[in-house]
Amino acid sequence: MNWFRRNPREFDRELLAAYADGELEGREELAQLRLQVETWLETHPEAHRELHEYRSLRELLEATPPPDQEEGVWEEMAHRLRVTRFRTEVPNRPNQRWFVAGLAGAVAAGLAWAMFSVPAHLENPQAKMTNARPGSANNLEPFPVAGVGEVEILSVSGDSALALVVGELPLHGPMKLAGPGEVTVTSVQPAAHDNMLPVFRADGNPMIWSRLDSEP
Amino acid sequence: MAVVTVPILAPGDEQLLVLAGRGDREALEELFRRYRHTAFRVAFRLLGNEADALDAVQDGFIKALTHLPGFQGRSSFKTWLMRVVSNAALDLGRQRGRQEAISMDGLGQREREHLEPIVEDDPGNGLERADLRRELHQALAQLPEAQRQTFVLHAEAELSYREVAEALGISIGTVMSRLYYTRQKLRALLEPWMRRS
Repeated sequence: MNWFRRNPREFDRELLAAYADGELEGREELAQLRLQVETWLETHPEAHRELHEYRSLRELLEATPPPDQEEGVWEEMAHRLRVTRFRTEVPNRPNQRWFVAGLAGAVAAGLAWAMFSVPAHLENPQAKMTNARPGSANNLEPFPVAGVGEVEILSVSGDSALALVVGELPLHGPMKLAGPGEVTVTSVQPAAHDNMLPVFRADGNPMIWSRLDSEP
Repeated sequence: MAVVTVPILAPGDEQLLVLAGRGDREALEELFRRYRHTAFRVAFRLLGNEADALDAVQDGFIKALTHLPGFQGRSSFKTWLMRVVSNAALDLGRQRGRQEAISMDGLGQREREHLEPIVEDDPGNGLERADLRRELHQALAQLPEAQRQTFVLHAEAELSYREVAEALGISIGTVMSRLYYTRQKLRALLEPWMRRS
């Protein structure tokens, strides 16, 4: 949309409506149009009246929301959706369910995070997970063990955060590769900034829980 | 045993879509939880009654979640979903022969209470809100479908002009025109209420 095709000499009611809707806010390239509308408002009483009517109409809509539905209604609908077989599902796909929904944007608090690129030998997770069991580490290249202060997290994002180190600071000793079921999210708690805090449980030594994605 | 707490952001829609694409039911349910209320507001404004609106929401979600592989990400998921839900509502309205006017005068007290909840603590306000809701439905019902859908996507789904344009495959200029003419019509039809407010 070329906003600048608007004729600055005419009282543009559509532009006034856009202004009322906040469409001209927050964009530098529309500052001139915003100024244009504000000048109209100062010099044209009819523009003020029209703006007031747009806002009254919005208030009427806000005053008539749809009736609240009981949670049971939504649960029933969720159940119906649950039993519907969606085309997204592929039969016989291994059920790789990750207890933590979304590693993107994770911020460590009191944890040392290690970011690894996925080693080539981890491309076949099923075979290599077997090899990674305690006592069978000979087939794996050793993971470097970072000490406290040796890793500085500059940023975390969904595409690059492929591994999570689970353990209690300070970390001592070698880290082992976590197998399925060895790292469990036991609960999720709300946090001050609307983040959800998963509470992990991992038995034994500090573990590396790597997202092993075998999907193409 | 080591127990640690890690702050983690709630997954974005894009992550949920990836998970849902792999058959993750929890991801599908999270998407439903996130958008069910907005979808209901859109459907209710288009159809004018709760039962039909709930049916449209369900139909819309089933269509959207079934056709997730076809969602190409040219718009946000919310934008795409609201288009699907609004289309489902309009389809349902056509199928059921949308009433041009919901008249409650001919209904008994029980039917009236079933259609419109009465606010027990302030019966006066509840009845007035019910009347206003009915007037708004009747006013919207007089608009062409395209204008009604454009207006509802903007006013109820809170989509920006650009998002409405993406949802409907029209230009922003067309969105602006439709919204303008819709508001002109609604202003004329709802003038007594607007004066009161």
